Amino acid sequence: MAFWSWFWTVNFIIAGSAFAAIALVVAFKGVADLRTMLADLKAAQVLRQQDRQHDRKHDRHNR
Amino acid sequence: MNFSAIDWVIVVVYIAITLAAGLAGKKYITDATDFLLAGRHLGKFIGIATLAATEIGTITFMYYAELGYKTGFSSFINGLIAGGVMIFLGATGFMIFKLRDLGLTTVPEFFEVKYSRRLRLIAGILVAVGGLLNMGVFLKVEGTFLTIIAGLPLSDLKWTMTVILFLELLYTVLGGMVSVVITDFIQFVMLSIGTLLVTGYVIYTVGWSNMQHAVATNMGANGFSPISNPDYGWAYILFQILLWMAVDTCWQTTAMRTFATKDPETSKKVFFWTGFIFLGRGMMPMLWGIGALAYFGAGHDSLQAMPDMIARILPTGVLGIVVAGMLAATMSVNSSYLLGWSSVISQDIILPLRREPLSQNSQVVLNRTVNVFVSLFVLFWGVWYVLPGPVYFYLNITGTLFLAGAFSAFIGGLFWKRASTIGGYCALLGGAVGSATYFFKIPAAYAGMSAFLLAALGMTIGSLLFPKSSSKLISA
Repeated sequence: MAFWSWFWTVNFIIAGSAFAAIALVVAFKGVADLRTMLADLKAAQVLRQQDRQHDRKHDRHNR
Repeated sequence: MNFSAIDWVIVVVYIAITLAAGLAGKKYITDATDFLLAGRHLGKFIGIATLAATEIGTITFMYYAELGYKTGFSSFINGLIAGGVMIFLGATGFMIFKLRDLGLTTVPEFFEVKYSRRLRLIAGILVAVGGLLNMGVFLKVEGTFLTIIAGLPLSDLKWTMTVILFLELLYTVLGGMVSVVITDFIQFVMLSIGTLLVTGYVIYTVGWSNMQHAVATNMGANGFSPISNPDYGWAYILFQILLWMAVDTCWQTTAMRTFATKDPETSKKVFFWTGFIFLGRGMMPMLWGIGALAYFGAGHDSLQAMPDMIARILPTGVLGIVVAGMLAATMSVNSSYLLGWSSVISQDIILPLRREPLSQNSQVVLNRTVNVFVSLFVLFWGVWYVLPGPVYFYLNITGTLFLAGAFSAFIGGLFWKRASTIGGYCALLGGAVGSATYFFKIPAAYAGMSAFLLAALGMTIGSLLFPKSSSKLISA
């Protein structure tokens, strides 16, 4: 019982500290990551719109 | 009523910010990939936030605290396995690297890529049934927590459930995965603050040595050793390792995060670091349950003991922050699960059954409609279904219904050249039959182990007896 009690205490300290440390880092660095994701989505949206416009022009030209 | 005006203000401000952020996601949606996978633009940090937030809900706190209250420190084995398996997968890239490389949208899609279209349909039905039964109990358990902690009468439970569901449905339907990721980030920060605050207060108020004493007095050595505890033992530990390997690779909501990252290397990093969060995700709420055991003694309702204790030990203001954190946890899980199961129903059941393909816009509309129907099912199931045992075991088994077979089929499809479509059918059937034995009074550990064993046998024997060439003829 003493071994398990010691084992779970050490495990709990590692788990709690890791949770707090990673949560802190993610809370700060995640903002930049989120902005990049939204910018990438916006850029992809613009590219798709340009492609569609290009296709329409191409269709008109072919007619 | 435990809530003061300041607590209500904190919760209302949090809900307003989350809704505004969630609704802002709508403008980034142009096609089904944006709606379901945020265009596959997830980076490392936002990937960790969304994966952690998706799998940490009030339901998680409730079932882990229940285990802590009932089985003491030996329950920590569940957190150790959940975190350890995820760290292993992230460090080695085992399965997740190849899965991200395939460019999938849903888990059942794998079955069409590696096996056949018909097997994808069957996998889709199994995923949807297991997933909906699994999610069906979330609202009731979460509603119970929030009702108790706010000091509302339990007769208000149905209204609490309906309001929670309506809020998360609102932004999930409109902004899909983009909204889910944005809100997951805010929710991850809030739930982390809430989790750490409660843990600190429980240790400070109840005391570590009092908790050890309470477990030793009520359970003896079984409260510390997962080997000697009759609820666990080696069969259970082996089942949990297999289950978590399967959850991390084949569970729709987790797999969606793998599929949505920028590249396979990012997936590995996300899993590795989230694994450490998973250690705390398990052990901290289990400690709250142990704290409740020391606080109330052994006669309390096992599911309600933890929220009852929290409502009594947290001061005004802190209670509001913690409830906002728990609400964040609730909404992040439910919105991701809504999106996950809806995507399976629309992409893997409805679309394959149609002869004509749907346009991208129609696919988004279909996903939104299915979202609403899934919500209605979850609401009604939560109201009338009575759990047959501890919540954690129910969730394990409803998940295993699909996971055991899918895990064997994934391993076969990724690493075994002789894996055939008939092997895939046998694996899904074996997994479903094995896990269903739980509902015939077989203990969860044995039901779970038999599901994984039968699935592996099904894959091996089915593939050897009906190799690829013959199984194509049979399934055609």
